[in-house]
Amino acid sequence: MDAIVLIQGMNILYTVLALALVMMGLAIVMGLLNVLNIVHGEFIMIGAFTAYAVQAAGWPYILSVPAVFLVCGALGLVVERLLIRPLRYDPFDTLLATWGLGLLLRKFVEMFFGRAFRSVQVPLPGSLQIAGHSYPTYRIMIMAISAALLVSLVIWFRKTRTGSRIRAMVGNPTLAEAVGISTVALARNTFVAGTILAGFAGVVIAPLVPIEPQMGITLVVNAFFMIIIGGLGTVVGLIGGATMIGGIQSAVSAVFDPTTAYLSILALSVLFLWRWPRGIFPRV
Amino acid sequence: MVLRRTTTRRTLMKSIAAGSALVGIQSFVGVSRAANPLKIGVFVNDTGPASLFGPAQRAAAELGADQVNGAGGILGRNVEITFVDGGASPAEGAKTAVRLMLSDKVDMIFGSHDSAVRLAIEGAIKGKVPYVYTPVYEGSDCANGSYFLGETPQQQMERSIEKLAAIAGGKSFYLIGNDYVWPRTTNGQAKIYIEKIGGKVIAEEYYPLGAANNFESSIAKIKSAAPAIVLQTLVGGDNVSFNRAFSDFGLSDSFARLSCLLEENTLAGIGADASKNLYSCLAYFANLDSPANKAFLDAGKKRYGNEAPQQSTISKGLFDAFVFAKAVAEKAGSLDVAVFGLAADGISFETPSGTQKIKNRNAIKDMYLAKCDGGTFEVIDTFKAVSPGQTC
Amino acid sequence: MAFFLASSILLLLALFGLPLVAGDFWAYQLTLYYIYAIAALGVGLAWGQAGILSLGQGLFVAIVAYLAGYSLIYAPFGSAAYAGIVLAVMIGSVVAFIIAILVFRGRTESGPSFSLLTLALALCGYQIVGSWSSVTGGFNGLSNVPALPGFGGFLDLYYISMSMLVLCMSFVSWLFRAPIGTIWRAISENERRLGYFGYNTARLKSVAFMISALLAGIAGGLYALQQNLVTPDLAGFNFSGDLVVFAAIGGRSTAFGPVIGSVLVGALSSELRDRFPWWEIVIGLLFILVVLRMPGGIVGFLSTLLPRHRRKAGTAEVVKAAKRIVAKPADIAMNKIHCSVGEVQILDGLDFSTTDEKFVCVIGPNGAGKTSTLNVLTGALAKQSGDIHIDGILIANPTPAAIARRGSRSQVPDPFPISETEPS
Repeated sequence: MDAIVLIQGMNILYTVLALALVMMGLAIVMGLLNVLNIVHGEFIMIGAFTAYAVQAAGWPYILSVPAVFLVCGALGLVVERLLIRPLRYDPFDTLLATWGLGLLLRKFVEMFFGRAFRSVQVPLPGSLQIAGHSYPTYRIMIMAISAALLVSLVIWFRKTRTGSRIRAMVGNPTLAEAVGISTVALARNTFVAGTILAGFAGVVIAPLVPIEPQMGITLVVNAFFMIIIGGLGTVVGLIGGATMIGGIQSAVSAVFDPTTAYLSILALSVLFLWRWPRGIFPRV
Repeated sequence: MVLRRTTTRRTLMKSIAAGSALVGIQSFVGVSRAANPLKIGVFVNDTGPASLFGPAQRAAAELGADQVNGAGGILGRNVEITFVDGGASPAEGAKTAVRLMLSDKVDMIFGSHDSAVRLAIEGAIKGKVPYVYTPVYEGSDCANGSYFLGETPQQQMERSIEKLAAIAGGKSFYLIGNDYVWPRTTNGQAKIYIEKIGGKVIAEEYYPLGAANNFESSIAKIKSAAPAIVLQTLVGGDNVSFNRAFSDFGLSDSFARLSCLLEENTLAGIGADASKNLYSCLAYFANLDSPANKAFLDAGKKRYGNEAPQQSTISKGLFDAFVFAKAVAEKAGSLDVAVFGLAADGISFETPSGTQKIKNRNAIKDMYLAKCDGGTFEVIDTFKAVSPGQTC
Repeated sequence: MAFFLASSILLLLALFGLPLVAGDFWAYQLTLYYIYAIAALGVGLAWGQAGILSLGQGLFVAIVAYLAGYSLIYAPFGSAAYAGIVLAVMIGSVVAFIIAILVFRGRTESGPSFSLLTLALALCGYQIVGSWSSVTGGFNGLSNVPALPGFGGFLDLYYISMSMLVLCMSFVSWLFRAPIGTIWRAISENERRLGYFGYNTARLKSVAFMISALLAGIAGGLYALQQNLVTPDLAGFNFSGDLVVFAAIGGRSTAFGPVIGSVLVGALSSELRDRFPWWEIVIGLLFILVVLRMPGGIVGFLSTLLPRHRRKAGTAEVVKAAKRIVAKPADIAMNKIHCSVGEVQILDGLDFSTTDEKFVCVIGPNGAGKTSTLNVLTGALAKQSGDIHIDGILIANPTPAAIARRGSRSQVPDPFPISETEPS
């Protein structure tokens, strides 16, 4: 009995941190820039295909990280310049435009890789012993990566110059511009950071999921709801949302069944959007 | 329902008379008919979640048409395919079926797509032309003029449950699937056969279709419940995610897994590193060692070269549909739905996976139990002539 | 006027004659596009007029389609089926109104959160009808829905849905010209200000959403009739998305736009779908092009090419606005007002009253709370405690609209952003 409690506890922690990792890029882009970036799922997909391509070429897995920085960074720059900036970062317009872009990116990847499922080998197979019970090494690694990223995101946002500039821009763009912050460049860099994080998440989760051009669609819809529950634009909100979703999913699944769990998460999203549209931990 | 059946019978008698008259005329004008192609609308998954099967479905259908045309066509007419997309919504499927009937004036419709689209297509065809549905499905469909060549839950479960229990050395089952009609029907059948062998079902879990599912908690439960066999009715991406997680948690050494919709493409997604102790029971595997299958795959290689798409039971059924249609049409001498229906019952035809015989509009066929060996299947047992268990 | 009449008659004749010329398949296909067009018209109305973007409009199509399906299956006689469908459409609209009023009450925006809420609701609906097989037929859908007694053929259904479409379009274009249309557009541009004018913006927006769901419901009823099969995918992500795409490409601010979008995108994708494997790229590019270059959609773009003819502007007089006030000074009393936002305490036990004076000037340094006092008084800013009396009457829960109706007018330097959109 103890074993299953411990493992399920680890599973909840893993679910929460993996969710946080997958939605981090969207949390930045949506929370700070107000861009309803529905193409976030496609950036994750491109990240996963990058990992696949790197492995198929016979290179070590770790090379997918610089590769995805290049691929998703470049893609983010182009998308920001051609789509997001001309639409003045308007939430609705960017939602529509990224919807169309998602269609294009899926087809574009299909041209190169086809529609079939691809798989990437787990780079760290085997498991580690935790309090006498084994847990897959790669999942522990994902937890560590996600936790490290979350912590550095907090520090970067709170303590660095760039962080305070972003906070200034988010709080009052006109005033930020007036005190000499180039909001155009800052918003662009923030957007690109979001796309790179999405691609990086794709690289990290690639060994665990089916890799195919449409894999991003279900991921992004869920990520949207998580960010809503947590609250826009704060790291605490990101963790809060992921915890709430991961926790409820596991708890309701355990007591009832996974379909009810999924429904309760949707119902919870509806409740939050209705009563607390700014989430549990809103940005003040 | 009763009323409809009696009227069908009556029209049937008339049509048979008309049909036999046609046979006479046809042999008379046989030559000119070759110039008048027999049109077949074929639904394949060009878009949607199952679109990964699309290229192979197109190829299988083209190979089926080649085969039939090489053998003199159907009723002396060359077969001509009109490919249409069955991967969109049911309403789109119905609309396409109407187009095939009214504008393209097809003589038959074949399809490999999901069940909701099938019902929509049947509603649009209204039994006016024969319709052959080829993929794995949940059974219990008696629409007028429809034929089903795919595996039914009875066929997948009847023999495999017993056999797998023997392999795994235990009779306890953990059922996990997606939450919709096919998994629930399949598990319903599985439970009958599990009971028959005196086994027990430890748990039954369903995950929502189309959600971003995580399976860690189920895997922990499976580990602690320690069943002999994990019976899966997960489809597509969920099938891949579950099995990859299962193996990542190191459970694949201890527990046997039987997945009910595990064909070559899904196995490629699961990957060689996660397929240990994983079994599949289907009517076709691409590496079946038989002359018929070799001829089928060689024809594919010849036509598409090394780029030939990976065949699987989902796509290969469309090849069978052509062979089936030719056999029935030639026995009936007509494509009239009623005559066709009468001729179809009891007819046998040869497919790459062996002889099939129609019973109650479904196919009696050989079923294969395969064990995954890295990225390929190794057939370990053949169940001869398994009944579809349908009552149409 | 004569031109308008002549062109309308020609258009109607064309619509009537089309299936006779183009054949049964086009009759069937156009029927489906008309049904989508009616639903897209609803999306366009809520979005283009009231600024409410529904990403889950398919939910209302689905609710009514299922209910209509049940009426057709279980109706003991013909007219009961008709009554059932009408009832289903009404249920759908009432549900929409309740959802909207619950959400919009106490909010002065209809931004992305409402859109995502509709999406979440639609996904809930999709999951419920998909899993609840015993009632809804599950994933395979509610099948064998019988045809409407007396109408079964493709042509019958074509004329029914064409007539409904023409009716709905006339209704929608009447709404555009009616005062309520003007008010909706004003709300979408500056909701706060409309509140100060005394309009109950939450209710007006809910009415817009209800009418859009009414249109969705009409589409749902027709859908059940035409398809004889109702499947969960109506409530799914893709269908709702398609409706938004139709409205956006065609042009969301006109009655013709969503209709043209539905027919054009529908016909284009159906022509390309089976011929050109990369057809989705064409649709995706078209969509991005419209969002970037033609915010008014195709119809909006075309109308900029045409010589501009004078449009009759609606006036806002019919909708009952605030009572005309006679310039009479009001006695205002604010007692022990506490107001804070987040961690910042703005007003801490403020007492303030006016008696017979004609002008009162409130003077104070930056950040003293002058604006906040006014905002609390007009209801724009919520107070935590304390009470407000106007002419001796306690205003329990002040909202801008309620205060305005009591006769207090605020001049807010908050203009309508007519041509420029500020960067956010």
